[in-house]
Amino acid sequence: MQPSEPIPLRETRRRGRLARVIVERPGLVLGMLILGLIVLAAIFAPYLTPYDPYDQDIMSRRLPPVWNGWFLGDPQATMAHPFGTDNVGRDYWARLVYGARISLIVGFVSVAISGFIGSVVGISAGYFGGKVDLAANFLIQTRLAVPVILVALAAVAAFGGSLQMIILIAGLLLWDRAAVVTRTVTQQIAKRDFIKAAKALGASDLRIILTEILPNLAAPLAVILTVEMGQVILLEASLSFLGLGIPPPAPSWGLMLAEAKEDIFFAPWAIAIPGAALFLLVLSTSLVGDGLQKSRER
Amino acid sequence: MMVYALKRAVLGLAIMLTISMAVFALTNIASDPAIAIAGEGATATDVEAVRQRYGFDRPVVERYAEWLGHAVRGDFGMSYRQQRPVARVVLERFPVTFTLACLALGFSLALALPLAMFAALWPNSMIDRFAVLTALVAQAVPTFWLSLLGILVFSVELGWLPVSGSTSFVHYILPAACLGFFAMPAILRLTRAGLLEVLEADYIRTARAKGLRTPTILVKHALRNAIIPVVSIASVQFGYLLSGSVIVETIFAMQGIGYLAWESVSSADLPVVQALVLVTAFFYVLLTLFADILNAWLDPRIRIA
Repeated sequence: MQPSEPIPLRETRRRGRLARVIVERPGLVLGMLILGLIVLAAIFAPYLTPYDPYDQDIMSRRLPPVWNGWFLGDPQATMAHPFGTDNVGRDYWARLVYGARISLIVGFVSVAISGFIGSVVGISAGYFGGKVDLAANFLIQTRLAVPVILVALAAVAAFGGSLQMIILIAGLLLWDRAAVVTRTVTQQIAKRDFIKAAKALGASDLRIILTEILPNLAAPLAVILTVEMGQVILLEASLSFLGLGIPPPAPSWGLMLAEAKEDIFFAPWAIAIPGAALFLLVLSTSLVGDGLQKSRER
Repeated sequence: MMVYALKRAVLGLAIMLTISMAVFALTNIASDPAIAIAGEGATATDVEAVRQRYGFDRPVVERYAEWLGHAVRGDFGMSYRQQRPVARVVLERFPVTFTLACLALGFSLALALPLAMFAALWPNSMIDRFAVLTALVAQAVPTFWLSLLGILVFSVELGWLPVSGSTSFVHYILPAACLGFFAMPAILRLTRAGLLEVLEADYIRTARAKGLRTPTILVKHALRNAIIPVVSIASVQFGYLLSGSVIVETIFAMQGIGYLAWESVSSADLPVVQALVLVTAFFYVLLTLFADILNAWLDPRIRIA
């Protein structure tokens, strides 16, 4: 904020702002657009398709997507199944939009857990310093030395795979970056005058952390958690792909890819479609995180 | 210097000890190994017999101490599934993963370093934007999807490369490229950031003022300093590659540690799982230790802090 800047009229300023954001941050806008569309598709999945993602239809197995009919002249392609069907005749578009729910729920809830753990570790390290900081640093270093996929696989094998378990495992494993970032930012904030003022007024540590530090952490935490959400979604998909994640017949995108892998010679589109969806979702989180970060740096 | 190295080594040891406890807890307290060995359809008496034969009826702390004592000497027990020493099973598979990780690291360095260099030389130019975009996009590509697409294009359609196996060099090309692509964005980002920082330093301005040509400055002055963080990133990434190979090796059915991990987890071969988690963590700790000490040696400011 620069006071020397002339303040334009409110109307033009608001409209000009949106246009400026689009021009200056095309990545952020594109990312939000993709993410928004996927979230909407997940919420309104029942209205987007007449099919049930679990309904098998042995008569129409491995139908190609409709564009195979347009461009390759495949006679089997039909508008009834715009994205085709899988090896037991389930509608691929229905599985895709219902599958978005799994990815998004895993992403949001895991990140809420890991964000909480990371913040507790990071804030206490940055605020109290000294021995607490040493302990937190040790925790972070230990967490970084843990091979994520290997331990996640072992944990799923031990406790069984389910949506809740995957969310818990991802949340408990991927809090390191949130901790590192909140620690650094808290260290910077803790030196500022308004913290000293709050201390002089006799505010308790908990009160200072909740009312003075936490609001200042919101922005950097939002950046890191958005990017982290993409990584969590990838982890879920990887585990499900390896057969130790969400159990079938749930329409997890990773699971769809695992099933399509068996048909690689006969139905290559079955690999392309869920993978592309996964790629777009993770890309959108990266774009949004990156865009938010750049907006913060200005 | 010695004090710093010693401190770091003690920290590494403490980390390994913590992880060994967590692994042991995960594989012995959270899940009952006796049930896993007895297999499906075993009666309660069968499970009890297994429990006594393998000594699972003893206190957990005692078993942990014994297990750790053996593990330190490289004895991780017997594989349930193969009925052979775990250490031998793991060592047998190690060369494949090591080769794969080296090739992948080479691939990602060959891709990331030149791109990062040009990007840092001309910030905000087309090539810089391209580099940033590449890192962003590559980060979002699921490794297993890339592997499947690679198989689809190079093995199924073109028929140039084999679909699976690890018997000859040709088998390594596709998996190494996929795994290297996974490690590339981090290296690209951090090298670019490091170079940008170095290029703003005073001694670079001095070199420019002396009238040195850009390539000379870049190679002789900038890269030499920017390579320090790259060394530590590369070594850390190498540790990640070892665990990232689980996906790639499983898809390409390569007889490496990653595939072994998947097989062992799927068949509840707990001693092998324990050993693999420990060995991977040990590699990570060792590599970061090595990188930290190297950096401290190169940059005296670190070891005083």
